[in-house]
Amino acid sequence: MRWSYAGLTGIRLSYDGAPSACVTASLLDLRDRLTKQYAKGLTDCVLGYRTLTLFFNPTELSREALLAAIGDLDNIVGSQQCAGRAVELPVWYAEESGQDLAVVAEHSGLSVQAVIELHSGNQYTAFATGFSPGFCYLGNISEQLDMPRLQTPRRAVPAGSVAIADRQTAVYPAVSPGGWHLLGRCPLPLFDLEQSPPGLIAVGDQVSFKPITRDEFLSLGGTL
Amino acid sequence: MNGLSVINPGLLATVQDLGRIGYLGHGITTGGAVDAFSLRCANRLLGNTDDLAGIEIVLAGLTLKTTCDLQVSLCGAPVTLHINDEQQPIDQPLYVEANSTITIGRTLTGTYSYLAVKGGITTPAVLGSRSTVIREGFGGLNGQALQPGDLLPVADLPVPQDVPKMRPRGERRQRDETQLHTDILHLRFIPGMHYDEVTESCRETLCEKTFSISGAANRMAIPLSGNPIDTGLTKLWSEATCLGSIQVPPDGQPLVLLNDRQTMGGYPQLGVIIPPDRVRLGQARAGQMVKLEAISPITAEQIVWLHDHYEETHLKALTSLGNTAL
Repeated sequence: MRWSYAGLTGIRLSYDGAPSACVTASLLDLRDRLTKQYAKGLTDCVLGYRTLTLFFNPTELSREALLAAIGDLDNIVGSQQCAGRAVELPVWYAEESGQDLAVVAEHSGLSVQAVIELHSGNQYTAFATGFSPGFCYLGNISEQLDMPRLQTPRRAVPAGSVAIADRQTAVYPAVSPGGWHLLGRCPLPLFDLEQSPPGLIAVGDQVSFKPITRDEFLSLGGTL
Repeated sequence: MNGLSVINPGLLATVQDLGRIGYLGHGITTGGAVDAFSLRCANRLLGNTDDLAGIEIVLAGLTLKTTCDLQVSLCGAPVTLHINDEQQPIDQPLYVEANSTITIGRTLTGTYSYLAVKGGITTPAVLGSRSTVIREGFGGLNGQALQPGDLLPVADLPVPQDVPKMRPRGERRQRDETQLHTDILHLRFIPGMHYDEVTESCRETLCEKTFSISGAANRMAIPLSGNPIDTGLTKLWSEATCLGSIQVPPDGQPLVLLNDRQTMGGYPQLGVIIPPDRVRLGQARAGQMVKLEAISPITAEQIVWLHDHYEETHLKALTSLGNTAL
């Protein structure tokens, strides 16, 4: 790993290899150790696919002390396994809920049913949270489903939309603009300020998708 | 319930405090006053603590009506302030009777000004902050900018009519304005993040050319336009953004990220502008010429330390004044 400045009150740790569940687990371990040690001094810790950016309050914690606590950069990524929770999200996959199913099927040379089976047949690591509150970047999806983003993003993607882009998949927590291909809809709220933490998925979680019917979608609280 | 009734929100006015700290890891941005120092000054003039929420006004046009007696103060961009058609000084604590009209008029320089009230605006706090982030739908009243007809609740405190007077700052302010308007604004930054991965010629374009603020600035980012910067980096893995980051999208026109930025980004970030220069940039207007300058972290630390010291000294003076109003 390497470190660089992220302003005067931030440190960015980055890993040069490919992102993986192991890299995420290692960064999570480090984050948890440091937040325990510096509950007051660290204000924010943000995991990216292969980065951990630490923001600190300079009146409580110095950069030198933080770097010393991080220790040997070469020993951060090891043989850690992802120890996140298993989260299963119900998804109503259909033309009505996932406008791009047919396009993705055509692009990948598969049937719509095969696309659904491929997408729901895997477990994904939550690599990062961001873009909007509760939005989680999940990966990696099958190479067969690897598709570039839409040329022109949609102005409004419905809340709960399950989408793919490149080797990633995600659920849009709220209505927002979006350039990913839509496969279906999840009826569960991905983000709820009344909950602690407010996001349903946390970095490191192992996420899977379970196909449900339109009726099940509605009975689980989904809205059309 | 008593407080401030919104007659006309003007261009854009939002409830802001010092921001939502500690939730970047959940994808929740900080928000908060772009010019936090000005909000703190406005609070101190009234004997408020720094963390109380006020109204951030973009440029002009806000008109409010008081539904109870209040003490208010206005700091930041040198806007005109009228209370019931009578012009009043900014940077002063002011006593305002119930049923008065407060109007924020034009300013020739600067962008953000802050109206504080004694005891603060008391809209519900969300995750420890009242700051409005419109994109996320959090904070303020229902997560939105001020709308005509809104009633902003205010802390129920005794409001003495006697308020202390400050020495007028008019002359100094005018000099500051002229400088801001005509000079090139220097933005000093600490290189970092993807800076080591770009070519020497990319760094030269970044630091040797002059850019200007293009028209589309907002609370998320200030776009700069000039010679395109070719970072040569594509397909980056998404990672944390920083307040003040210089982010370079594929079109080569840099963006300086502000308070309402998205917490993650997939474009190269070449460094972080030091806080005092970031706030000056935030207050600047479209067309302002800017030049980026890479400085060492040690130099940055010295500049920021001195600047913080200056701000603290100024705030302490306002506090002793504000407290006499208690």
